[in-house]
Amino acid sequence: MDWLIEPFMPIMIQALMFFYRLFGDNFVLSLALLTAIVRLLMVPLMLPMQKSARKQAEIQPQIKALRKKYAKDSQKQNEELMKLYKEAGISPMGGCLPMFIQLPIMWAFYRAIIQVLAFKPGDLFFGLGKYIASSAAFSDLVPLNSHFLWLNLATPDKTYILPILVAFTSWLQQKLSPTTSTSSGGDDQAQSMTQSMQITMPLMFAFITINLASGLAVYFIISNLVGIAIQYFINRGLPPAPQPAERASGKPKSKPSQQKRQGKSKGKRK
Amino acid sequence: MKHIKYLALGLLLVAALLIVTGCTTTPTAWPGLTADDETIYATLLDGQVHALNPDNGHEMWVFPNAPPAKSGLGCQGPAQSAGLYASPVLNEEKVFVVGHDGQAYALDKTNGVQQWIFSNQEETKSGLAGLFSERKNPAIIGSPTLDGDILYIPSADRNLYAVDAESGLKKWVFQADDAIWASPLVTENRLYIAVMDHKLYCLDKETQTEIWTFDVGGAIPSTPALAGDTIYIGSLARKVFAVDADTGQERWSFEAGSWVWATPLVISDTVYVSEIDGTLYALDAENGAKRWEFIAGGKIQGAPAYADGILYLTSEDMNLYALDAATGTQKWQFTASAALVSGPVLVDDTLYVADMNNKVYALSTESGVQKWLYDPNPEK
Repeated sequence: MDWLIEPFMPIMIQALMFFYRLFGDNFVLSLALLTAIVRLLMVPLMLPMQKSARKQAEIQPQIKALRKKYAKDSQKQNEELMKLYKEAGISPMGGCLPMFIQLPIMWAFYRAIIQVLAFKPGDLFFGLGKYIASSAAFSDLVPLNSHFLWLNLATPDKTYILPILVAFTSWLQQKLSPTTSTSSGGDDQAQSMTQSMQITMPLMFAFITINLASGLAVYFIISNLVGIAIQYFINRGLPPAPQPAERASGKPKSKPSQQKRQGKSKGKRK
Repeated sequence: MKHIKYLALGLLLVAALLIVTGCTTTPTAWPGLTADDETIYATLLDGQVHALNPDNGHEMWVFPNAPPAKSGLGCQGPAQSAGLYASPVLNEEKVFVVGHDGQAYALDKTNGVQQWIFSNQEETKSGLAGLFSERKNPAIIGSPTLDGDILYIPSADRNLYAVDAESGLKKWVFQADDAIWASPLVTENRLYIAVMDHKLYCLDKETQTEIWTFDVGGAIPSTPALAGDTIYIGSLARKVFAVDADTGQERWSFEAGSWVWATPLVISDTVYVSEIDGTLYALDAENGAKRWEFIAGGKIQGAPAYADGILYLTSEDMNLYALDAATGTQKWQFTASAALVSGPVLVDDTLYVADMNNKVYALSTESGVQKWLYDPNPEK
């Protein structure tokens, strides 16, 4: 799988080191700025996914009704569902494609952080050296200063503060993200799945970060915070999520364009 | 139910990806070899020291008995990264080995029985003070240097420890501004310490007072070489320097194409120095002018060995090259089963080299023909 991320690795590593030098050998500031840049560059890819999720949430009652109606005929059910998606302008795979484009970039960034925080001879020789050993620009920076507050960013945080912050910020970010099923009125199974994900994912991230280098935990926290900020602005721009009453009737009370305008004007009044 | 299965699968996939990619998969270090007439001592990537018979490669003893256990989810922080990697150091009775967990061991040369243990770990502070105290990397990466009855142990915790070789008791500590990966160079009355803070320190051996420092512009992972009154040193800033050993004044510098990791080798009036991107340079020791260069097929970390006009050079491309020291012309090459990162060790007419698959080879210096092979895990 390395071939997938390899093209992005030199760019990520050199950008991290460039900002590290710019901020006077401060790795956390370098990480924060690059995370913000990468996350902002990903916004155009995120938007179709979120629009698709919002649209799917809108047609949940129709989906539920179709599933009930054609419960015994799965072929017909699929046909009708496809028809519904088409009418609503949703491509079932449309939301996934941008995610697959983002994945290698985010993965490369994640790996670049690990490489840059090299603290063992093997990490430098086999890892970071591959990307910058012949670079006149960054060779003098190695090894990077990995101390920040009480942390050695190359080792796990023994206070467990970072894993807790990772869990909290992950939960908050998920809470703000639009999903295909909202809090009520949608598919019961999907709804319970969403709810369990909102709890399970942050806990899982926290558990994983207990054993990872604290630099990665810092990255998760910064990335979540940037994600929350981006989500706030996206939510202001998207039509509001359908309310239970609208979903029960199976029809939106107003057209999406009207909702958008209402959402915007509501946002302005705030 | 189908959705829940997909959800569980997705969660597992994300967790696996984070765990696998969040832990470095690169080897911690590389093997180290030391030899005397009676025994070959090899620290291999299993984190153990293997004592081998130089005539046939038979194992005489291994220390510790089992490879160090790995903890956590496979991620090794410095505290968990136990294992002995640097080349062992010998005196008449003992073999000294060091580990990435901050421990140094003295073992009986004949049977590998532990004589003493030294740890650079300070007493852990309790309570909140302990939790929020700075977490230094305790790894001892470079080999210690033995000088009489003192063992000088470099450490990534920024300290150089002077330890009594007989008892393992600490005599004094010198603190630098960054990790010390390289073995110190010891002369009659001076200590030369290469530090990752870009500086070469020259200390008075008796008083440990600083005589001079020389900034090479980049981290120094390897030991400098001394020939006559000149010190030759490379660094990750891609330069080789010749420095007056007495005053610390620069005599000349040579710009390489990439990091200079290996300790330079000085033979007569030539300095042989390699860069990690795979080029070995022969430089005029007087002025740093390049005489020739040899490009290997892979990275170079280990210093070359020399005997009778021939240089023996290892490379990550799995090859050991025998080169004419005067011209750089290749005479023969031997291909191992994995990358050769550490330099070879030469005893009489035999070359010993360990690869990244934990195999140790004994080769004829004349032709590169294999005399024996030691493989601690032949079933793999």
